[in-house]
Amino acid sequence: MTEMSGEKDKIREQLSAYLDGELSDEEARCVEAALKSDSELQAELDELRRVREMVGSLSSSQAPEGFVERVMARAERERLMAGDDSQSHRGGPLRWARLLATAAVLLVAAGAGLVLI
Amino acid sequence: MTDGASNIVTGRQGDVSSSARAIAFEDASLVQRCRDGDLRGFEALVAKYQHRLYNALYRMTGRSDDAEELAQDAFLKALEKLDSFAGRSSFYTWLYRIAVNLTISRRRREGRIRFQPLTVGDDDFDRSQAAELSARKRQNGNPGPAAMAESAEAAGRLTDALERLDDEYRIVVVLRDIEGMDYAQIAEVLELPAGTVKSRLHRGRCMLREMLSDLA
Repeated sequence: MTEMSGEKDKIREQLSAYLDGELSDEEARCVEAALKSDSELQAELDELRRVREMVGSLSSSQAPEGFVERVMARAERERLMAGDDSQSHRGGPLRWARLLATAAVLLVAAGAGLVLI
Repeated sequence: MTDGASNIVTGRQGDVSSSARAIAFEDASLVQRCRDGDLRGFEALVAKYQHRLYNALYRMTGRSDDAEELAQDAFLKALEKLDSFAGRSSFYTWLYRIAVNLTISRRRREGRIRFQPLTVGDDDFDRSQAAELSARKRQNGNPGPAAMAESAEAAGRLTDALERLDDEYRIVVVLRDIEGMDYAQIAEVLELPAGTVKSRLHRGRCMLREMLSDLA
């Protein structure tokens, strides 16, 4: 009796995976054989199927409006704060802007130096 | 998640497999643009996966503000770590792994996580929790399961039941039954053995059944 109950528990543990088609052919055959002769297991399978359907039927929530813009703003900010090291190796648009700004500052500084001399 | 989307994830059908390949190719191309310093590639990935990731995180956390913050953090972490993305898994699987890890870390930090040992046997099933929930259900009174899925109130109760699951069970249920991932993908995202995924999912569904099916 205990042995039979242990076997039934093993089958019971496989029910979700059976439902999801995640058992090997041999395992699936064992579950199917047990289901045929055990209405209690069949009822459990049906209940698990309903649970799965109910969870799957929950409506999808959409990301709030402006989500992409907020992520991109954070990405830009974090890149600037990090000194944009990774970007600077790759010639991205921010790098060129920074190079131009640096060149302008150097030119002004050089010009000021000449005037002082 | 729709069946179609689910099939794209699992690649069960021939035409769906080619769709999955097309998606993987498109993602790889966007990832490469990011690596080349083109933030528009990253923006396209955010736009593409924002709703899916947000929805999964919303179901995992039960809070819209947490879901948005975690989704933002996950995308930014992905951008930061893009060089370590080897492309062995798909981009979205990798992104989900980052998001789930952030979620677990955060909830653990906030003391909102209740993890059980990885190998949970029948005896470890939280019977006191199930009994408490059953008692609460009897107090509330319930419609049948089929009617439940059709009403807003039912969706609320189901959401509530999901939230009451321990994180280790809820996350697996969300990834399987809402995201439509197969066991191998879930194992990859959570970095767990497939057998653990299988037992957690079964246990999670059994707990939901306990919470929702005793409908006198």
